[in-house]
Amino acid sequence: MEREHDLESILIVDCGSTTTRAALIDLVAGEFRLLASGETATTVEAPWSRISIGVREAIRQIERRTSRVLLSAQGQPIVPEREDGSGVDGVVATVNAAVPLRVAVVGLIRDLSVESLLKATDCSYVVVQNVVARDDGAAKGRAASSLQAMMRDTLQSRPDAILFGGGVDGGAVSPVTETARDIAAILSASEEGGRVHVIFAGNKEARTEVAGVLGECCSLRVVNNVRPTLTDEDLASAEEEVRGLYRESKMGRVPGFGELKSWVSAPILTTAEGLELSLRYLARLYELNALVVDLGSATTHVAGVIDGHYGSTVSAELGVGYGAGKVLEQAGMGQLLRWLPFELETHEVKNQILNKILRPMTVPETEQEFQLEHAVAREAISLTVRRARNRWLGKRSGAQDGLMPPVDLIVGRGGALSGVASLGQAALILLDAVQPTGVCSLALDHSSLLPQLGALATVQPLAAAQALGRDGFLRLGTVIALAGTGREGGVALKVKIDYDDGQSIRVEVPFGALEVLPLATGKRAVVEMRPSSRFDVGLGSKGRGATTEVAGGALGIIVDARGRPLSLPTDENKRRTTIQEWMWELGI
Amino acid sequence: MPYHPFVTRVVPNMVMRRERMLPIRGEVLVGTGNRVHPSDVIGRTSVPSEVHLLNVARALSLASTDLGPYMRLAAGNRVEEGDVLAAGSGASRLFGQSYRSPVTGVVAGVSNGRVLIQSDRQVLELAAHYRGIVINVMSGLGAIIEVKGALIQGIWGSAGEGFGVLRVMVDDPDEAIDPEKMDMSCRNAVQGMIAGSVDTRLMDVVQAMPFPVVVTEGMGRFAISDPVFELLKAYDGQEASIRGTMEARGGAVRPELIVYASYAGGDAELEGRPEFLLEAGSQVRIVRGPHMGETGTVTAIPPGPRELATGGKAKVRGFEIRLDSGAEVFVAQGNVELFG
Repeated sequence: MEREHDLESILIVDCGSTTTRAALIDLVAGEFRLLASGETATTVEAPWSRISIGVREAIRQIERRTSRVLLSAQGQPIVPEREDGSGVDGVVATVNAAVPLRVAVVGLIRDLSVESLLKATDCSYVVVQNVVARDDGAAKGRAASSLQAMMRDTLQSRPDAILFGGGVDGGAVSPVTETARDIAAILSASEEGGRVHVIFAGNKEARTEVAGVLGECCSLRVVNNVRPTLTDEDLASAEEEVRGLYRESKMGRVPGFGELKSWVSAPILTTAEGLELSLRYLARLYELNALVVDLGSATTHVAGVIDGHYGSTVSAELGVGYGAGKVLEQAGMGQLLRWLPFELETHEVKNQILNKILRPMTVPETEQEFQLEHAVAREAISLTVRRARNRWLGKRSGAQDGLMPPVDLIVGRGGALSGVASLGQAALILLDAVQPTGVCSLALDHSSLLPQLGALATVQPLAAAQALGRDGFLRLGTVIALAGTGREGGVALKVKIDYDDGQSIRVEVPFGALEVLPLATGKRAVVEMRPSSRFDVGLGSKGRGATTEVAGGALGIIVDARGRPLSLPTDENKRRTTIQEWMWELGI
Repeated sequence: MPYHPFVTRVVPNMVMRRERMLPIRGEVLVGTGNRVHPSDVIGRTSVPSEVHLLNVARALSLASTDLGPYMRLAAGNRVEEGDVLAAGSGASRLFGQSYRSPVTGVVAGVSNGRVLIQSDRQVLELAAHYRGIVINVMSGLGAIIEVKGALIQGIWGSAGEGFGVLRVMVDDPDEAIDPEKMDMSCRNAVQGMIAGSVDTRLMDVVQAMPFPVVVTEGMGRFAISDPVFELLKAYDGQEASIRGTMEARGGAVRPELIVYASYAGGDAELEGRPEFLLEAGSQVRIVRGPHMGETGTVTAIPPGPRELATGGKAKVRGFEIRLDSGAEVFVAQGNVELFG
């Protein structure tokens, strides 16, 4: 591994399920900056079946843009940088091109151990195939054989891993060992039993017995109890094991991963892990409550740092490409159709979505295709945000029932957000899906750098920090979002904006409206907000006004007076007209 | 600027290697070098129809580790419903107690006080499905068959596979299949169907069909691409294997039709990673947007992003393409696939 001071020029790479990106970071006038980037199709699937092919191609694009030689004649990155300026000092990479880890969750009580085990699966690319709670059988008065039938079904669905827990530390051991015996009996008789990983995250007093029962018939890993007491939760150790298992049994088996691994100067992280490192850094450096929404083809990831606490929810099956079908399945047709400003037959929606799943790399070309893809984007984010709210986001300070807690910064990333025709589209998708409250900055990771910079921070934190600060974001502007609901057309918010050139404007924003007010990138203004008695500007109290300084952006100041939770008109024509008006206001 | 896009192979003459695997370990009945016909059975195994996990120790009030001495049957033994699985004997503390099997099957294992019974097993025979030569045998698992013929890859397929004589049922690639036109004598013998598109409204009907359906273009109403249609017409009346199995990620198994026909146009290409990239001169197919399904040739690769002329307003990287219809269009990079 390279020493930190040796890394002055670095290639940073991210391999998503459909898109591979590479970027060159180098010193410019004593500061690390993004010099150029390249983007191409991920080459993990047949007939290419080698992830490094796409990486090489993205690097070749950088070579052409910078007239700098980065690859050797054999197609390997030249490391370290040579006297003649060819090559780089290091390569770092993040990968999200593997299929998810299939996990069965087995616990004793649904509302305790099972709930905590499920939370632990949120940290990585995991699909929970089956959930078995021992108390389900008891609650429904079913015989023990029913529970065993559930267990049998679980194991027949061939999970990669069983996340198994139950009991508080020091509590009764026998229910845990009984469950372990059920698992062991089936694994022992199964040809594939030995390949199944079992992560035990239950009562620590049961570890010896569980190891005795399961140790011979599977690959057993023992971690801290996710529920050491009835009131405490300790997910970190189970989460780390799940992440490790994904890296080892999924990411590490991506075709061509070995070649990519031989190129890098630091361990390859998953995209979610890289994103987490960048987010933690951002939140600590600027003392922010921040939220990142990563919308991919196969996966949607919402991560945040709020009051110093990190939280993360990965929806490994929800996305705008491979994951579009699951979005339709989970959200429902009505939820998708409500975002369209025109009529579209349900079979046409299904046709287009299935075509997108079959060819996830395709991009919309017509207005109708764009709108449908953006509807899928909204619902993928919305479903993930809802899960995050139930698991960690809604439990933070300032969170009102069913609403987002106020945050300082929301960053959107992913092809569907950065590939929009106008920045207003990206802003509107984020506002509709995340439904922020209060005053926050809205930004896009338009160069798709965040995960890779997180990986870079593990070996060259200064380069990561400087590149993140200078080139990491495109600031869309400041959002003022009102929580509450009011009378249609009634004034929801009176705003006075004092610009730094001495000018000021006053605006009355009616309930239901989106209003974009000018404030250019790099400019600041003082905003005086006076909400009506039915609305809260993020202070936890309706009708309470505030004055704050805000920063501008590509769009300016967006006043979102549509209320929270956001509700769309029930009348079809009115709904379409309203959506069209919101789009016009944002320049779409 | 080379680019490795999505690829669909539509090739009149190719050498392909296809893995035929048993779902669980069994017996492989062919050897390397054997010539096989699609209907030949090349492997056999027995698959349990259901497994039952019985907590016998608990039922007999025994500790889970104490069941062993009371078991009357061992792993591998056949058991009928009502047969005694475990019982006390002589002066043991289980005197007079027994546990009878609630199901018929075979004892698959005894572990931790539990008995696992696999109900009656069904013999599963693995057909060759392809006409070709066995080039590798994986003992107990399956074989690899080398096949020579024309390959048409689909984009969607309903599960299953079939083998039969290829019959083109339409005169025009845009014509819908009319069941009334099908020859009554062969209607019940249909082994598979290949179509340009299927509307998702028909999905339930298609999934319920007793044979695989392979779609070449996508969902909705799209004509079958001209090169695919021409190839199908050229091989009308030839034997073919059709497979509807698909897997979108993690291996990308494509539905396909393989036609066994002799080809006079030169040596067959060995299927594998293509040696050509998407560049000027490449034969491509448009897979989204207003020109979906049309084929053409890349004429230029503009260096930077360009606005689409189709109303989406987004700027994207793409290709200038001369369609086979003669029209010149700019198409987003992601919406073009290598074809042929």
